Amino acid sequence: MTASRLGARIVTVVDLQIQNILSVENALQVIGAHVKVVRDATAISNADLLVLPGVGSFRAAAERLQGSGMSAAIRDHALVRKRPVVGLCLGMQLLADFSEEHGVHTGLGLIPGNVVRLEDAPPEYRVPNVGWREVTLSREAMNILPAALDRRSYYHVHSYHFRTADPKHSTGTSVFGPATIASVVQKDNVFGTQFHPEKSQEAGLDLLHALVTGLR
Amino acid sequence: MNRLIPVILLKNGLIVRSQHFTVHQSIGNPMHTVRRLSNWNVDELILLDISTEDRHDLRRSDLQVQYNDATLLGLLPEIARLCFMPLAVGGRIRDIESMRERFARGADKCVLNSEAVRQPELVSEASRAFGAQAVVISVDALRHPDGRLEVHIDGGKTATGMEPAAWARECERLGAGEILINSIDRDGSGLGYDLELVQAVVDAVSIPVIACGGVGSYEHFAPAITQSGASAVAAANIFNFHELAYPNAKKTCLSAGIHMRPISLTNKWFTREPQYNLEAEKAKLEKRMENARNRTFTAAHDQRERKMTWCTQCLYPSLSATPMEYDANGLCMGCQIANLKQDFPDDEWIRRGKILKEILEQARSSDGSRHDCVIGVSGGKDSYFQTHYVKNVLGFNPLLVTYYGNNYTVAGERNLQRMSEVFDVDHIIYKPGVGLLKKLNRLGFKIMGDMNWHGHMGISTIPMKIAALHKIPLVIWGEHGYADLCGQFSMNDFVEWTYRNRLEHFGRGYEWNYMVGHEGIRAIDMVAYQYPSDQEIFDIGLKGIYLSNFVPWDGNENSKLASELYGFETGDVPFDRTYRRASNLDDMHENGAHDYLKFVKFGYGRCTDHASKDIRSGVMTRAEGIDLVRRYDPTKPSDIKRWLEYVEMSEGEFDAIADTFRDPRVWWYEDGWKKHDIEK
Repeated sequence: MTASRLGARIVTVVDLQIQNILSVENALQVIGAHVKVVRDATAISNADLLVLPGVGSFRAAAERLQGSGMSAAIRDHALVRKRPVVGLCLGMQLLADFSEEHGVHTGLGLIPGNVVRLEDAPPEYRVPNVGWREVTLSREAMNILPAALDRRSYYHVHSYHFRTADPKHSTGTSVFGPATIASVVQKDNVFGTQFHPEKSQEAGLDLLHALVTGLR
Repeated sequence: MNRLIPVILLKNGLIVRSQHFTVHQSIGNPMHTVRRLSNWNVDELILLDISTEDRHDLRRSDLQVQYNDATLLGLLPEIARLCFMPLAVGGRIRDIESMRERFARGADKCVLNSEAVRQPELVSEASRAFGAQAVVISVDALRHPDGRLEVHIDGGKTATGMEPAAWARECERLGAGEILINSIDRDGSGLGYDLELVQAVVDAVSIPVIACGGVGSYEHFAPAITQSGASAVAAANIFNFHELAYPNAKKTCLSAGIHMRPISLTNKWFTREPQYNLEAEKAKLEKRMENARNRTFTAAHDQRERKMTWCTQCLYPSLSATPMEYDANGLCMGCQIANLKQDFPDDEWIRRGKILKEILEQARSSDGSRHDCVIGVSGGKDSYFQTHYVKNVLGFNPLLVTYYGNNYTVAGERNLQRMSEVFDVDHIIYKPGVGLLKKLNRLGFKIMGDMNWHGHMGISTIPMKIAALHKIPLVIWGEHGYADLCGQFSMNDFVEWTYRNRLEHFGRGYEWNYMVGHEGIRAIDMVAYQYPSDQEIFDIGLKGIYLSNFVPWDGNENSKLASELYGFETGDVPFDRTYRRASNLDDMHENGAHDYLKFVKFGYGRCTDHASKDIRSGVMTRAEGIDLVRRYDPTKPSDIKRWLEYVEMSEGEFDAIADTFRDPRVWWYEDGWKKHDIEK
């Protein structure tokens, strides 16, 4: 490996056991992190950097989070202990207050806003939004991410998107037809990407590396 | 953004080349290829498993990469470890559970084909369970002679009576997220996509369509998007046979005005060169040496029944060092391709000659500041033919480049030194330090049972390195060993030199950096074996072509021409292990100790190779060949003595280490090593 190795920071990956986390684990390992997978609330209580991956239904994930007590543990981790959280794809949407995906469901409430359905804009923009989309980063995002990651394309797969209550929390945006959507959200020590950095080749791995080394 | 997608066809764990869905030729190991694709930041990868068996066979144990688990599901997590792009996986998917298994091992999408036709409700079920974006329907269409298009399933074997556009529309209704449309008659043809087929499907659906089947040149990609409206373009074969095929294909698409992610040649998280765990590798080596000392040999302890068959035309064994395939009549691929070449009409060679001239013309130095091309020469008969053809027949000014492995025979050395005189060309002879060579001889033998690893890697590196250094855009090689010996590719592939082929076949997966840390070798000692970077190759447009794709190629004829016109000397002393006198004079061990090790591993040697080629070209009967093989293949050659003195090893040690490499499918032990022999 030519890239700089991390001082083996332990990254705790939350496994909701509703989808595979293998790709996220592999990506974190490639960038040199030490990965620990957790499946219950107690294991979160002494975590450093928490990663919340996700694919699938918001409702199933939210129910798993609440039912297992992990929801409270993650809020405690972020808000009381002020430790960093990174949400990926569905994990990013779970950072919101609530989602309108098949009914209204409560999220973690770490970044104010709600998750709503994308609107079709044919012929080019159809739901689900699948594919490589260019992301424009704000200055705020570039406090953590290197400028080289601005205007790179990242792999998106989603039908819903995160509408932040305060536009300043949407720190990376992409275009979906007439709409501008949040591809990166950020508030204090909480960070989320709508796209899959673990499936976005070098740019995605660079982004994960920057988060794992930079988020404190 | 449009996508450019490589397709990897996996059959029993190995990448294969497909033609009309019926002929599958083995290309190699998926790990090397996936690493390379990650290196180039490809947009997406489609992996289609067309296995006929649950297990696969790498065929040999002297390769660096071995899989822990032999099934596709075992292989997937290994691939996922090198794959940080969207991954679509297809083949042998029967139900929701088999899809779940693939997602759990790193797949992002599942590709359904035959099963979607058999049970359409599976498409809806999958779409509900995993989301439409995770369900790709692959449609294989055959164009009948009357122009009618029909969907086929079961690898093209079963007709369905359905029209591709109508079936694609139905798939969309059932919940598919994407359609992969493939043309059976264009598969492996190199003629380009069936653009009408692609457009018919695009017009029928509103979901993305991926075009596949028939790409033979980089220019074939763009029309599927610009004319037929596909969202993505995919291909398999072309990415296996041309250097930097992915970035070059992208360059061509971008120049055609297509909106795609930019070209990227490096990924800092995956170096092109594999990374090895030195401690683990040293432990593996130590274990082998311990087995040699204790005389613990895998082949001696294996209880299975040994089976062996041979090609019905030549002498090639079913278990070999090469990725050989046989047809239903037991005819090997080498014979099939040789027969095909003999049937070439004259105008086919004229056509090929013209293509060669065009390639050379493009490389010609416009201002005389550099040579027109590089020819990698060993000073052998084929080197003489290549130089003769390029300089004296076609009139170009080549630079000859030689890797000097310090094992030349007396005649071979004279042949080498004579080239700059008889051809009046410039010649660079690159001689690595002899101390280093001795270490590499020893390590190659102990690690992979081949003292000539340094030679294979040196020969396949130095000409490209010198070309890159002098910014010469073309390197001319002679014959493609596997293509000519075992007919690995179609003649229409125009296979070119690739890094993958160098690492996987010449190096067996052992890149130069593998040796760093062994016997005190440092990176700086291995400069001779360090291949030019992808960026250098891309910027210069450097490529390597095989002359045997363009002109009739016959080793015996080359030897005759070299002797008659240029005073080429055949060996004054016969070889111990083959009847041919004009081959491999550049390396006394190549026909000797090195080849004896092939016999120890796989039970056959160079005499089988030579006699098979001579049978194919009609100068020898099969019965004569069998007599020669039975006489020469088992012979322990006298040059081993020189080698043992050279590297300071005893013969007992040599034999014991060699025996650890015996293939247990070939050899058994019963008062000595036994194997099946070819019978008349």
